[in-house]
Amino acid sequence: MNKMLLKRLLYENLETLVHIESQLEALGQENQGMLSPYIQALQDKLSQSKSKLWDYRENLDKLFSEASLESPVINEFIEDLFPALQEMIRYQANALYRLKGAQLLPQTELLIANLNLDKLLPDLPHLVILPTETDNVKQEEHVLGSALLGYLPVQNLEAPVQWFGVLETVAQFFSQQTLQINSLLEHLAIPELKEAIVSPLLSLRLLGPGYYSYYVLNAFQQSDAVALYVVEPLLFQALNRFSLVNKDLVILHQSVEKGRKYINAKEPKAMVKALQNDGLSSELLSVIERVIPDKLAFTEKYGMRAQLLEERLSQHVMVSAVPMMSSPAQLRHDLEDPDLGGAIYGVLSQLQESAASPVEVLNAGWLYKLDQSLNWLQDLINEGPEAGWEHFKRTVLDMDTLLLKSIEISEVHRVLIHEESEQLVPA
Amino acid sequence: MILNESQILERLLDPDPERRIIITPLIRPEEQFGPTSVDLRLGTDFQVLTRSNITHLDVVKSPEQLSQDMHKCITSVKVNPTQPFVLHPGEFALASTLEYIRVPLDLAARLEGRSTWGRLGLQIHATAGFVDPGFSGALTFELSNVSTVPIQLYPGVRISQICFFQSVETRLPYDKKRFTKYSGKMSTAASAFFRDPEYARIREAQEALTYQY
Repeated sequence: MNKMLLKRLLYENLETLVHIESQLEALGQENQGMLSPYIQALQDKLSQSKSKLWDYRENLDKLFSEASLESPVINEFIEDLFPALQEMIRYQANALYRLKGAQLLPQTELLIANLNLDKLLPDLPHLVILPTETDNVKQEEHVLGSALLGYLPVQNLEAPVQWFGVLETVAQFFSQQTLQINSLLEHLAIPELKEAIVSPLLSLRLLGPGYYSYYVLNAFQQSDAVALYVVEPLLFQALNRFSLVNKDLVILHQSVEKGRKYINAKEPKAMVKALQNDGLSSELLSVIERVIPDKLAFTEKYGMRAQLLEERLSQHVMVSAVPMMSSPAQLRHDLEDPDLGGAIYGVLSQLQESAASPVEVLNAGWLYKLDQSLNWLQDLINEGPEAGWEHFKRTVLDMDTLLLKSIEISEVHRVLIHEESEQLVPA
Repeated sequence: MILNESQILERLLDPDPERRIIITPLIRPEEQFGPTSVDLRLGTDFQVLTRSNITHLDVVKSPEQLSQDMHKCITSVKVNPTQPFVLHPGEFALASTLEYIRVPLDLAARLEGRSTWGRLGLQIHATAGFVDPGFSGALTFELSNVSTVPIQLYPGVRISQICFFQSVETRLPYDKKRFTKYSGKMSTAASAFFRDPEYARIREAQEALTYQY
């Protein structure tokens, strides 16, 4: 497994610990009564887990200082550190679930509402998103009477970049209803292959490159061989076809190719072979493009808007709106005209910004995270357990705050402007 | 010198990020710009004081205890874009701008009300309308209704305006200033008066007196 992937997996685990710690702090402030000793005990347990992380200090340093890692070092990460962190996350998630119950943020509902799923599936049952204590939502019930259930792990309730999994149920439902997909895949030798590949492809089409990053890193956390050997190559092919690839995504894809053999699960060779039917994958992508038309999909133009938002995120500026001006230099030139008079309204109108959709905001968050998170991790290792952790935690939570606030404010913007779902394209 | 609309525009378009004013989202700039100001909108989150949980704020308690006391007497209210926040006569509430603002180091700014709302009895700040060079984040409103009828406030309405003043570039920008309490806040922030260093000195002096007598 390469160093970059190890770092990304470490970052994902630590980011989740930040979210758990932050939720426990908030609960501690709210609950000054009977529950507070329990919350305190959970916080102590989390602190022990964080201090245990520093027992690996030597290897953490090697992760950043050495050109390549020896096998024993890699094994220590994969067989010792990551399972310990994940066990702690599971334990704390279970406790948080008991303490918090069902408390979705309103921004999660805004994400779903702005995807216009009703236009895609007019008879879509009522979608209900529920918090869950497990990070493997595949284990949960997906249909209850007339409700379609989506799940969000409790530790991710306030972590917007981790919300990309909430549509998996909808995508599954959609794939079952779509004749074009069913007829294309009905002859597959392995029936469960359809279930494995269609839902992620539909999710990617709706949610963009952020979904790819989310999916791949989660697949590693769960040692999901089908996801890494069968689905990931298809998703990356789809990213290319939809013109949504950038440098960080290519590097992530290459890391997957090199790193998947290290997971604790075997390559599903029969499934990989079943998909190697000439032209099947490109035909499948073509069907996905037809069943989710461009106006409802996350297409290249939204990818460009997400990149503009990422630039703002890198300056710690709110990203509720996308700048639309074609040429700031030309506008500055226009302003120099002493006889501009009432024509200044022309200049002003060009400053108007377009409301960002929640999915654009979250994609900008992923692009920024892919670009920056390994630097944040390196700062944490360099600065040490106390100052480093506080700095790391502040950085992660500040980004979340910026994304959540942006989603909230963009909704006000949409109401005030009556903007149609068909967004303007930046010049 | 107060900046006129063209000068504000030049600063919004400035290629140098250090000199650029940031105001986002700019939803309808042609409606928001005046001769020397830009209208700002009301955000979505409010904080109101509730007196039933606490008798008073004892300023010589430790900052941690005071923070908990503040938590007890402040209720956060979030409204969605089509839901009003109702400010009753005589009531006071904290709110914030919808916009994220960044003021460059060579400008200062002032937040003012709009006469449209002043005529209805809405005051948008009690005393703190000044914005330091280097500020970034959402600006806080100290809302009060001095009329006799309740006022319905919807997120996104233009209740205020900001104007900018030229200054010699400061070496003490707001976000670098020691004891800054509200830098970079994206939402309505309650007072953190107890973090002012004077209170630490008063607490120390009181403890010394207790020991002496």
